[in-house]
Amino acid sequence: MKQDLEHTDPLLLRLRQQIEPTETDIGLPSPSVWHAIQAANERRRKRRRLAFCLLFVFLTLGGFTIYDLRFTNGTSGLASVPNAALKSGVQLPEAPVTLKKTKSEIQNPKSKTRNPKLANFPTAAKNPKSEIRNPKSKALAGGFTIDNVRFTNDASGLAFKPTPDFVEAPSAIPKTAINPKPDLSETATSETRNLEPEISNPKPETRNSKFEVRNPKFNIQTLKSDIQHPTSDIQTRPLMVPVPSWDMDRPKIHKIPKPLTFALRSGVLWTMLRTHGNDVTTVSPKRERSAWTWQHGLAIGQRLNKHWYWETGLQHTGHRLYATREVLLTFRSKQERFNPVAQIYTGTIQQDLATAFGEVEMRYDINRVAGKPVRDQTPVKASFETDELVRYWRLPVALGYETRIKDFGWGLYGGVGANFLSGHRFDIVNTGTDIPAIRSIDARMIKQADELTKVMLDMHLGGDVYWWISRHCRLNIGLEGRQGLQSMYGSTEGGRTVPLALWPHIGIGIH
Amino acid sequence: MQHLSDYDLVSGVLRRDGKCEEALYRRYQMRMFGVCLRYACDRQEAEDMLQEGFIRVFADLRDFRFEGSLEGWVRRVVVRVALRFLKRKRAFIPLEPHGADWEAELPDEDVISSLDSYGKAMDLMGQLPPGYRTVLNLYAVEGYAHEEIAGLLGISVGTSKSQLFKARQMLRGLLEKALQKESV
Repeated sequence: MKQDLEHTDPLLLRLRQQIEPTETDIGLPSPSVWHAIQAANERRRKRRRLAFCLLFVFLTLGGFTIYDLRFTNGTSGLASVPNAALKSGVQLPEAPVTLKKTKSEIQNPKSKTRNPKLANFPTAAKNPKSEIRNPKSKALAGGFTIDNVRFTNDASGLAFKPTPDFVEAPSAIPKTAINPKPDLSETATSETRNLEPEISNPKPETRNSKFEVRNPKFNIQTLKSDIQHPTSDIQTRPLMVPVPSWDMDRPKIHKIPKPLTFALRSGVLWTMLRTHGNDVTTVSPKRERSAWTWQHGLAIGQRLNKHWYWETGLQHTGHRLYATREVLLTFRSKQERFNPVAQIYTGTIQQDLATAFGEVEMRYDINRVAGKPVRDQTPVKASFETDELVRYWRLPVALGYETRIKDFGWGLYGGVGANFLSGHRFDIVNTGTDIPAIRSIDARMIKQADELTKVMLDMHLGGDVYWWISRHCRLNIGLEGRQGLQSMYGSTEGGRTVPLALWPHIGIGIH
Repeated sequence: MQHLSDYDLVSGVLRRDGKCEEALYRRYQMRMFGVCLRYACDRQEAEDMLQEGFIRVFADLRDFRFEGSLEGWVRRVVVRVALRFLKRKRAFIPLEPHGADWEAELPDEDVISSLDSYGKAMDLMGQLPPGYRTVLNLYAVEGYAHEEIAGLLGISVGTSKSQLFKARQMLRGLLEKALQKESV
């Protein structure tokens, strides 16, 4: 009831009637509002693009890391041996072979397998010279086509160990060799005890699956005596010849892959912006301090040898500069309009403001107190405290040297970087004027400095001290000097702003 | 661009069409500026509110479900931004923690009819403290209920009623004073 009474209160209804239809008669807001909204929309889109880019980079790096860990650790070419007695080397194919299928095929009257004990072992070798008996087996063509296996004497004195770096890609092998379930049972016809070094059959033919041993470094007879596994085990568990797994199209597997390194670094730069004269500015800056620059980024590198490495990455850099600037404005009383709410007259002027990063197009709303007139064309000296920020994406490439002493180490690096302009922000923090009748000046940026160089090159030289906190992880602290090869400010010859920066930073790396 | 329907306008903005963004802003800038002026202390503050409000409108436009008018939705967003702006500035300070009894005291016809222009209405509104002015705006002009106002401002329903009651009394007093001044 009260609610109804309130909503039907004639005074409030009258107030609503007076306000609503006249909302459109109050005049337009300043055009700078729309420019600010546009800039904010653009920033939002850039943030979204950045998020997608980072996601893409992380996914790519993650995928690359997984790929690297999975396939370049020197064991991916060959599967491991499940038999503990044979752990030193000779390996089974990765593809599982089911027992049932093997049995059924063995029981096939057409099968010519003579030793029923071998039925359970899909790829045993009874006699290296023996022929593969089942002519119908198609999968065998891919299953027994390793043409070069080199046996070495393992340090532990165990049996044969094929070294992966000598396993060459069997280029002649058809794609059917990647059969995940090769039917090899009927073709397994040799035993471990009869495995002689003469085993050789390089031809990738089904009926001539023999193994060639190149450059045997040992006498197989003496090696036999070194085998310490129970004889029965070896006899009952026929050997499996090494069979390349599904990534057999890789040309060659390196024994020692070059390790990758990842690092996350962040720091603050002290930057000296070298400014050149006033030849390009309409009004000189009153006071310009050194700029602060922050930077953080990701790095990815690769070790070339024990000491040397190269590195690249992605860094986000921001150059921030606080300054006090003065500009001469011309007061135009004819352009003033009266604001009845605030009881002030507002005149609008558009004029460029010179900054360290270029000429910024500004709009100034000069608010004059009612009753205190100012003559037309009067020069108004206005001072502004400005806060400027220029952001760049940086792609560095560096070559470094480092050395390690126990848990500590040090390193030096140097390289070049390319900076890509990603944004410019200009804020007026405070304003002041020399005319008392002017209450305030509202200044807004309409257009950013378009003289800013879109792409800027620099070079850097730095050093780091490392502390290894675990086997693969280390912290580093360092100092980096940077010299811009090119000016941030593109319209002047020789460069108006050349950043010379010292970058004390900390970081963490995975190696 | 002016003849575009709400659907086309929203679709264009969601496609990040700059012309549609500008058209949306131009279509509602004046009305929303009026809304902001009622909550703000001065024109500059109203422009800041308007700017923040439209940034929020463009960011949240994908949430607009065409269940009501686009103008109403934009208006609600702008009002919320204006309220947040005032809260951030600590401009809205509830004066009474508890509700006061509503008196169905109707002002004289002369007093009501003296409120005869937009300038006068805005002038009177501007003389109210921020807390009174905000609740009066939300209730009398925007048409929110006390429960909604309490939710928007984070105050109790009783406080909202109290603020409205005192705002109305103060408004009436200001009108009477103005009427007396005119008659003299």
